[in-house]
Amino acid sequence: MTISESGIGSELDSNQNRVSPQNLDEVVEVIAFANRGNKTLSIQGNATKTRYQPYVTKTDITLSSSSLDKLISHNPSDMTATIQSGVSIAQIQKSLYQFGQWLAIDPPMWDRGATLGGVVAAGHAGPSRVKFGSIKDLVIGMTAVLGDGRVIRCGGNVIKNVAGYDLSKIFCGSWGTLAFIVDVTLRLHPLAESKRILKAKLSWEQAQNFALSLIASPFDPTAIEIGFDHIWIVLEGSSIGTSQRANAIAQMASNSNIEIQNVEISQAQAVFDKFSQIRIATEEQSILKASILPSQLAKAVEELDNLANKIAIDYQVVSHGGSGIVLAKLSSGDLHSHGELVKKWRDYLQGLGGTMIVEQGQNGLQELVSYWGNPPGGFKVMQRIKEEFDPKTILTPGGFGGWW
Amino acid sequence: MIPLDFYNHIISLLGSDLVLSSPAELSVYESDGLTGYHQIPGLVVFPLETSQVSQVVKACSDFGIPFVARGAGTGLSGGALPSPDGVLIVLSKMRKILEIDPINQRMVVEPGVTNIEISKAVSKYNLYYAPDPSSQIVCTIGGNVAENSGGAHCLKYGFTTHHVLGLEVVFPDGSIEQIGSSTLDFPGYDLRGAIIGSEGTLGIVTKIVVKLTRIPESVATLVADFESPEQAGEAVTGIIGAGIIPAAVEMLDSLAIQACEAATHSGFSLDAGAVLIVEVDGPDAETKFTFEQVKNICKQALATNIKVAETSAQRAAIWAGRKSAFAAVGRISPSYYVQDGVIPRTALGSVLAKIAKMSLESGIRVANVFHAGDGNLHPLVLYNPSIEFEAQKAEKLASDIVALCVEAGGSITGEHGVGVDKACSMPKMFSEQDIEIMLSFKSAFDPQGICNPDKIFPTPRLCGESPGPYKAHPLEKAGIAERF
Repeated sequence: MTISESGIGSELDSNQNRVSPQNLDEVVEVIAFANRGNKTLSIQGNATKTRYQPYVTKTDITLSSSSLDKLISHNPSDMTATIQSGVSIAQIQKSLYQFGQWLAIDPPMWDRGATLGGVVAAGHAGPSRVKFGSIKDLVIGMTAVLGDGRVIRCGGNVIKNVAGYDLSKIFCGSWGTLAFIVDVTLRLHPLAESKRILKAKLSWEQAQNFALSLIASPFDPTAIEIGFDHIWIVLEGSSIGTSQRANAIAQMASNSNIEIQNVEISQAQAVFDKFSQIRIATEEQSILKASILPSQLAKAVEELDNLANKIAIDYQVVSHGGSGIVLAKLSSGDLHSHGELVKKWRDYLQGLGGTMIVEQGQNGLQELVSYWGNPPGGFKVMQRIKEEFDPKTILTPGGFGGWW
Repeated sequence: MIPLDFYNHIISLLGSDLVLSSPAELSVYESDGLTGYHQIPGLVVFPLETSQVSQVVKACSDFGIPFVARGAGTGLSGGALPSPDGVLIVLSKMRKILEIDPINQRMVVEPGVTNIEISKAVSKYNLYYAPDPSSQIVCTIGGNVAENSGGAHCLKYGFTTHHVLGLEVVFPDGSIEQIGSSTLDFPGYDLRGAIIGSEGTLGIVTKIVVKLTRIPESVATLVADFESPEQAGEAVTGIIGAGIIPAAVEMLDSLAIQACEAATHSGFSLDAGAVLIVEVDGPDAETKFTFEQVKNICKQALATNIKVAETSAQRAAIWAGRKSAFAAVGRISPSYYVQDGVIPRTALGSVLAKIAKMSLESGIRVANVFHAGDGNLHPLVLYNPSIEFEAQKAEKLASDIVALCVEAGGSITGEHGVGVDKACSMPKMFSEQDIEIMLSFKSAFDPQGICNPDKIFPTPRLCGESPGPYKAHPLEKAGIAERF
């Protein structure tokens, strides 16, 4: 029986075997159908991250979240909301702004249609991570359907809750290999009354040290973006508070002979767009994401520069300062040269105690290097979790860094 | 009984100095902070290092003997209640600070280090460890990881899970693995996030990488009196509605105020129907601005009196009063249950009114202490054990309050954990299938079912003859393991 004969899914595109369930029951039905027939399933939101997943083999069915598009509940006074996985982050923010609230995250592709389900599955975060953390820090509950068709509701509706295992942590960053996420309950934050943006022209080493002095300071930056020869500091709070903090930071900088400039928000937007462009690659380009200690930023970038020069690759690099996240886009060079740089830079970063993944690779790069590197600690337990939750390995085959 | 060959094997691994086996010594460890439950362990061991933990756990696995990890034993849900004929692995001798990295705001510690020791070790760098459970002077970081501990300041600063980056874990087969890392991202499933708050049922944590937080530039604290908890609740709604995330908002009702005053003389007004302790912190200018807003909101919500802590000593006195609340209730009642439920903050007024009604109907007094900002209630159900049936009535009231919290859209526990205490309440919050899935998750870590068994999940033995949704563990079904 094919899926079109199965009678499942009110929105079925039989050419692509793509099904868009409208509610939990329909998701359960599709996954149960797949289990009965040993059919493989891949999961799709708005398809903004398909290039992150080169190991995923072509599946029998594409399970789309596009009809799970409802904001189920928003309790402004409790600052929580339950939202279906197919809703885009941009739509969520738009709805919440009216209430002076937001989901405190600015993950990659949020401005290109990234859905809540996709951001959760990727475990993503953005520049404001230094203050608010990543998506897993904001998820307080979740309904998901496991690979074997069982439904789990984990967590709850309140931000403080330690009942049962916090399985939402496992689903955040599981890339669709354990469960299909149906809806997510989130902690929200108030929108700040005022925002200030500062910048200074600095070398990587100066920027690293200035970012470190910012996190050591009491001035509570929302984001510290480093790249394009500058450091950019975002402050949020009351208008009087942000202006005093901006002055204090300028003072702190001038003690190190650094000149701080105030930047208009509209002007900064163009720059931040440039930062987010780093995460958008053509098929010939590769994007690497390193996670290191914030004090090793300059070393990591210096080594990248050495390697790129030696191998003759053009690149751009930016960092979420204070978080130790470094994003490099390899904008020229052939497959072999990208592979060589990945291997060498990864070895170097691992020597520093960091990790590096290929987020998006030049077509074919997955044949030369492992996107995620060496298997992490607890790998066997991860395998057994996969066996418990998706015993027939039908969900997103290859999606877990190619390991399964 | 512990088999003799197992006992001899453990002695050969650890030497007799690190092993307790006489009945008198064992009985010291029969309970954790929830003394209503007691169970004498078969053996108590005090490993000094990870390799010893691993060897003991491996031996348990080989012999099929259950084990339970214990830190300072301050837990309030019986999570460290020993297994009969099992090994209690006490981690209080593993208390080294292994590494401090003030630049990157990281620290690596062993599980027996107390919560407060972490903050003390780094205060000279203007850093601290943010989660601050009331027991922070004695409770260990290992126990905090097991329970995902919060504290009064977690509305703003989050829980243990937000402040622990990496773990060294001894899994139930004795293998040692490094989970997470000292950097923020790592590929793979977030086992770290699942192990934190798993109440010691997935493995034993032997090293913890904690993230440190900058001490705020300024802190401002006030105590506002109100005629009723409902009015105090209005003030809390007003504060949050204004887009303020206070560092802490605590509420005490009149009975709790009386108890705290009797014990600590912190200066709470004895004639208030409720007091709110509100603390804001952050950059100096923000704190000043926000504190004024908070004062105005309290006034608008008809606070009868507002007292601002002018000195850090005054602030400390306020917190000493609040943090001693549980113990202080002993001054006004011979015995009490500490309840721990969570409600959506907006349900505060209606839930409090219902608790008051239930208290009146049952004739059992309830003193209320809350983390009001995040809706975490700690009703203290007072009773006199020498009055016939009063303990049972109190226990029923405590359990009804938890049911009320779930009905209101909340949780059976905000920070004390499920342990043995609330295992039978899990079905109030989770479906049969949710629980079954959590059990299959546990079996991925602990296929033998020997790691802190009989905790969190309802079993017929714990929950009486009508066990609710209990279903056999997959291994029981397969005949590999038994539950008794």
